[in-house]
Amino acid sequence: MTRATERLPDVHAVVFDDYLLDRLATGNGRSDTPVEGALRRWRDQLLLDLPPIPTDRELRAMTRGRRFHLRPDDGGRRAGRSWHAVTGIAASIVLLLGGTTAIGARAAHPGDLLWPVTQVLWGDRADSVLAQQSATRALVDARSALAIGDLAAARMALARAAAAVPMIALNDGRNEVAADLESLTATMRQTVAAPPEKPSEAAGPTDDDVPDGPAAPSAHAAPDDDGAGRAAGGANGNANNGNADDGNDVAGSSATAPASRAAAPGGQADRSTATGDHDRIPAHRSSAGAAAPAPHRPPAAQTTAPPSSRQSTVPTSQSGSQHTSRPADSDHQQAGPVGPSSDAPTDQPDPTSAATSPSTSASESAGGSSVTDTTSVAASDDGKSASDAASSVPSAPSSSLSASSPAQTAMVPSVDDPGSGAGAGEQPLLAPAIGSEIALTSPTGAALSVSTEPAEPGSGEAVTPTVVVTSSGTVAV
Amino acid sequence: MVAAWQAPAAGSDAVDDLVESALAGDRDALDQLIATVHPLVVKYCRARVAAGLRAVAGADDVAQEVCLAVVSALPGYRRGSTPFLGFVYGIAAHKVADVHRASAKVLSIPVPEIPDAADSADSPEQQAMRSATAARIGQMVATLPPQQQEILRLRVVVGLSAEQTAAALEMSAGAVRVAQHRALGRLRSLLTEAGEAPVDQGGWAEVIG
Repeated sequence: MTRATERLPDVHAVVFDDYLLDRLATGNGRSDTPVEGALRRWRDQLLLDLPPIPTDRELRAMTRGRRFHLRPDDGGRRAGRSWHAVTGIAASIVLLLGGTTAIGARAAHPGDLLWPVTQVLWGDRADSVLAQQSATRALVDARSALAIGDLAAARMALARAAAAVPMIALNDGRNEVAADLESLTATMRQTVAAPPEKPSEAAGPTDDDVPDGPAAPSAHAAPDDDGAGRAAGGANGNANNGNADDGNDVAGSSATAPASRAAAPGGQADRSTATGDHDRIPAHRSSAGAAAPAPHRPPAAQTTAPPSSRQSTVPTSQSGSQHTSRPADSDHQQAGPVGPSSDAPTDQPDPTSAATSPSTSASESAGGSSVTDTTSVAASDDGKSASDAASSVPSAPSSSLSASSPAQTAMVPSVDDPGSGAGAGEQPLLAPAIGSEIALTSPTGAALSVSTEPAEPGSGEAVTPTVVVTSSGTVAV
Repeated sequence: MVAAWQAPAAGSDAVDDLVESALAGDRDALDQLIATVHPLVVKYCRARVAAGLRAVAGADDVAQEVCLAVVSALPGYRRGSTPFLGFVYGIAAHKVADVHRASAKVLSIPVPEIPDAADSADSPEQQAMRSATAARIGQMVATLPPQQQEILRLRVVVGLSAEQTAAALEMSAGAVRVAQHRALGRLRSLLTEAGEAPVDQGGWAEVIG
């Protein structure tokens, strides 16, 4: 192995070594040359216990969780990854849509696509919305009913609305609906107070009214604060008309409506002469106003004559949106509410309620063709009962049924009672002596006379009021 | 001679066909490709890693890594640019280099589980002797120029033919043959310097040592 040979290797030696290495590589043959032997041992040592050949699957198992990617057949792996991605995206979309739907459903209204969702997810709000809608609908109905003068329908609608209002959430405009309801209620009351004039018809209705004896006690209150004589003319005339009108419809209900109306003219006079009783009047007003519509129908009465708190709001609306003459009316109407004590008995014949009252007979002579009906109210003898009646009024919010009496009582002021002007508070203003007659003069010139007679002499104090109304005749109750 | 050149590894044409199929998504082809490459990689890794004080198991792990790297890098392989064996060799060489760098810091050998009983296959002395023999030769080989080392590993341990080695190392077959001839000459001189002539397997290591 000289330098020369290293630079220029012997071709034979090269081939020989190549052959030697080939033998070593294949493990074939055996050589005793040191180099070949050493290399063979080296090789054998290194190739002991060769590990098994891993399969593709094993390799891929090893690659799992690593960053290696087996592109050629990684379809499954990539599909797996994309499957995860797709699942995640789908879940995100579902969540997004669900959330959006849920949130959107909060503002849904019946008929909307999301309304069913609202009913499921936001049950409270759904109820509120439904209530709001029904209330609004009812108010619309009431408005239209009022427009065509269908008071009964209007009352029904208002009752529905009033029932629905408490269920409306503040967010859904409860205040608005409530305000609307109140204004409509006031409007209706106004309408009721000033119904279209109709040709009055005879005393027929009068008869109906008269029997509403329960009104009698309330009569006291009315006279309380007015100089009856002065107001008599106007009040009577109006009252007559009103009563006559109502008589056409329903005796009870009609009586009330006219009552307020009838009172209007005389109201101012009344107020001017108002006495200490005025303190209570506001309360009267409210109750009277609220009560007025009630008598028509018991159902309506229930809704329109709810707790006193509710009634207390009436005056507010009245003063706000109502006609100016309203307060005057109320003054008169206060008489009506006075009747509360006679709420239930409205339908009852007076004997029961008027057991202690003197019989009052009113006779009126109609002037001209217009028929007047006179309602005379029997007042209890003693001032105590009168004051009772008066005082009870404020505290008796629901004097609905007695509303029929207002009509009559409203007219009472017109009764020219000598004693009425005297003691407003303590003394019964209208406490005609038993057996006395009170002469009334209506603006139309009709004369009304009320006579009190001891009805049942045998019963001692008990006096049965007898109301005799003379329009074209005399009616004795 | 022709028969001898048909090394365990399939011919380059066959390997290239397997690569083609594997790249097309043929799993069987990929399995065959791995089966072809893995033994070569294991031998090479053992030749390089176990040449030092490394255990064979560590070399096999490295070989596994190399196979994974080969498979994962397979899509990037362009037929015609380099022979596939060269492609694999490049990956293996880099992997082993990484292992060497890492092993310089960590002197532990990961094993699946610590054996409870003694290994009855070889006595520790025999094992030490054998590994010592291999270590001696490895040390002798390590004295050779790097290229000759690689040629000897590929030719002797991995079992590649001169042509395959040339392909792996991106040399000409003639250059490989000359280089291996010089490497063998160097070893012969080393052995001669070490002492007496040919020794039997038993005492040879002692002679050298």
